[in-house]
Amino acid sequence: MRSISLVLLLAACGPKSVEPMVSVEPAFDRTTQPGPLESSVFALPVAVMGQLSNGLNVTLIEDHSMPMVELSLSFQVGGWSDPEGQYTLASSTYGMLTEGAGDLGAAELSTELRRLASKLSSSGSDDGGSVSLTTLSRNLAPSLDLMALTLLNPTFSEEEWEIKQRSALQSLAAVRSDASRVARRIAAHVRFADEYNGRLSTEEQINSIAVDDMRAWWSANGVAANANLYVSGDTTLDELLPMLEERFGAWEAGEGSVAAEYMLSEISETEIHFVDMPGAAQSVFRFWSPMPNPGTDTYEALRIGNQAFGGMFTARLNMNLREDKGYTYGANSWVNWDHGTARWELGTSVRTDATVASLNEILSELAAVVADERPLTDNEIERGRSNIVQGFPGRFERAGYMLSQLSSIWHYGLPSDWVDGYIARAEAVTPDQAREAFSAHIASQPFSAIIVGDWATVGEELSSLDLPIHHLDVDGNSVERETPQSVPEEAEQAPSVE
Amino acid sequence: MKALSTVALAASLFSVAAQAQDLSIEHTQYQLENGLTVILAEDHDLPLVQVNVWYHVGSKDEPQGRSGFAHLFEHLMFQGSENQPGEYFDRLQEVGARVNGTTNSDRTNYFEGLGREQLPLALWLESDRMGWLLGVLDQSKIDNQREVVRNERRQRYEIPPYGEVWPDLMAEVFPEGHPYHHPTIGSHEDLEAASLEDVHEWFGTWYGPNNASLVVAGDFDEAEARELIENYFGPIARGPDPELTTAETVVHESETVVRRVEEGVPYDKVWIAWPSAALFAEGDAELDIVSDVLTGGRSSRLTSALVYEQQIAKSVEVYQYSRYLSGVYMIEATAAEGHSTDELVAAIDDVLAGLSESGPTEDELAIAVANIEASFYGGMNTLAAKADRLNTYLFTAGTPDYLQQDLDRYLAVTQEGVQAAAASLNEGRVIFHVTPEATESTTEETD
Repeated sequence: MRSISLVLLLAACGPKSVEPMVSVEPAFDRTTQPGPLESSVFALPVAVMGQLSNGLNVTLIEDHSMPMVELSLSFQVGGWSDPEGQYTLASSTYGMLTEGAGDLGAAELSTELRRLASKLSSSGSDDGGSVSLTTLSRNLAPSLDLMALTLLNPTFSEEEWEIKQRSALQSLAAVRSDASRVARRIAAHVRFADEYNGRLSTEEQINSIAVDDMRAWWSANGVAANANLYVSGDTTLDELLPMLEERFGAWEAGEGSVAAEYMLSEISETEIHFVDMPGAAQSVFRFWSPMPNPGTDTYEALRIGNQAFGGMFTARLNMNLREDKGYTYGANSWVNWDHGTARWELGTSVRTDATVASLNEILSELAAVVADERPLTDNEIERGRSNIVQGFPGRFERAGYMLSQLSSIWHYGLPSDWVDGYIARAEAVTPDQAREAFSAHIASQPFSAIIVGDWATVGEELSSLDLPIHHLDVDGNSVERETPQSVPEEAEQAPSVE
Repeated sequence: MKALSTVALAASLFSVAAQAQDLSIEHTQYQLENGLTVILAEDHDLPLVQVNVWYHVGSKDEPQGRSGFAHLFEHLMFQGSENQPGEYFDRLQEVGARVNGTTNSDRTNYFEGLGREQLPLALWLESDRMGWLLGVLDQSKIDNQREVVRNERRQRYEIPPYGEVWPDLMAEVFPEGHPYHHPTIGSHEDLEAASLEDVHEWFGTWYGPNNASLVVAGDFDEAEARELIENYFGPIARGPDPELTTAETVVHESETVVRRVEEGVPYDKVWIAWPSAALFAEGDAELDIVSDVLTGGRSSRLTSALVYEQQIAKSVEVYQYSRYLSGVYMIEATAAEGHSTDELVAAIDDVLAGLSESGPTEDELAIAVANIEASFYGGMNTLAAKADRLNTYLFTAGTPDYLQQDLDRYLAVTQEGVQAAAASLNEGRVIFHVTPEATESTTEETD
């Protein structure tokens, strides 16, 4: 057993205001901004680690403020491992773990958990999977019994799968009818085409999965070498480890699998991927472009630069589209990563008749950064940095946040000082680096613009821009669409689809 | 979070109601001369503070023709004030604060979570907009935020499938003239009608310190906080004592059925709604238990009957949505492919009849209470949640010191009480069916 402790001193990074600094006078004056009170040291929550005999790593953050314990068993293997034609196999399998195990049917398992006032759930994504338990600390042992049962002896009942499968098929219809969800789905598809999370679930894929496939998948992938256990709450390592060993020690160690490093689709020119949603009151924008991975200096510089451009309410993007023009309820941009790639993203929903105007504003904001017409100022960059640095402690109110960060380090192979070096990395970026990185890697680069909206209304104006438009359906298939003509009465008709 | 202490938790589930409990959020409460209620809750776990201000006004208080105004006004509270005329977010984002405001039918709240050293900044800004707002508000800000709110309406209600069912359903449950008849987001037409004059009147009527309450939670020194609060909020003039909006209890004599064919929705879905007990009123806790007995888990009555045994529903959800003036008891069910919402209603009625004839079993009641008790701990793990809960209790129960009583309500529920609550779910209800408009079918029939 070893223990790691992460301590971070924030005292050195007090308010870094670049607005005219207000002098703090003893006399009270409400016309000027008050200075800060004495700050105090923020220490990151301390994580302690242990290991079971089968190699399963256990990370615990103690928190005795409530008589509760939360556990999350996090898995490496996700939808990326799905075989051709059975996309959603991994996530379906994770979902079925808690639908009956050992001698307990799904209903009995649920009742037993509810008697203990415990919640046990399982789910999977493209990147991984998890089995999570929330329990009163006094009911930890019997709840762990049930959790272990789902891992070591899941039933994969045919009858339960039929019900879940039907529900999954219906859920596809829900995804396809919601413009925001369509935009996220299509953005993933455009990013990775037919690999990784570019592969979209369809009826065919869901129907192809049988319980035997899940059983085989679980016996290959549901092994300790693919998992890490993260725990927070009212327990100690001394209490916890023997309880875990007793229940999970016999779980097969197996061999771990690691996701490949996937490649993003190339973007040679800024292009629109349009999905028609007739009658939509807004157009949903989801833009992205590739950027350097976490762990690089450029990533850090871009993180700060983006904060100034679109990462805060008061950043340029939202101040323009929302607070000046009133085109949207909100617009922002952020940096994101997954297995082997990172990207810059921008998202907003704009009034349908302001679709092209909004796109033009975004294009001009990006161009202004590049052209030295309106480069990101030192002031904006310092505000962006300060927002990140001073907002850091507030993220740690729940122990689960720290655990999710530790899980990401493991899951995505992030630098080991991802959390404890967070402030230092943000502080190390100079305004010039942030400005230049944002201009060179984001603002001057072509991007991919996914727009979901009402083609009959926006098509003509959008087509007049000098940007290529690819039409896709809600499943990412290419379709042909004619440019609508400006006859207002036709605005409510669906455009022709080949 | 140490201030929330628990003692003597029940050793065995089924004796949970018999155990002595002590569940509280430590705090002190006092009032400024101008009527502002202040609640201080120290918690030194992390060097953070949370400032949470409630104005006791919401969409229930809007005059005819101004639906959505309480919320639009909330947006205007972020447009600066006389001593800080820029965006309200400006100085706060610079110090990494988490800032927002929300409006519902009953109240409008504003909150900042930030480092302990920035408490004066949050108090300065909150007090400045409480006392010195109007001088910087002009027509262009109203025009801009009106557009922003109309976009919020589109994004939250018009784009998501079924998004407009909720406001339409509430308009059926609460008759014309009832404060809950119209939705908090308002109509485009009413939002367009809002004027600068309305803004002045709303502020003058409802935003006085005597109609507000301030919670500060977290890592601060009480004496220091008291002095800052007195300095910043003390000089604000008391406002008029606003007349509280009241409402008659709504009773539907018979069933109202609405059937709607809608474009762009994925499945047949039905909502069944009853006017019900207000928050913390008699019967409120019992209805929460009814919900747990019906859909708390995989083997709960309604879930097991509709989703698993008969397999006529994809999902079913039940909840008691209780507010200040009234609750709404709601059942939402999505039909499985090939089944109609009328089948769902018939099956739901069978289950409800069973529960109102013989009540829940002892086991069902104990399980429900145990799970609700556990949810009390889970829902208190941030300063923001604690601060808002103190204000909820103050506003609704008249005292912030209500956590234990809140839990006690559930511990005191009897099988007979749950049976009576189930029996109250009678014909006096609204049933709202939504069917997708038949277009080109992309999925095969699976009859």
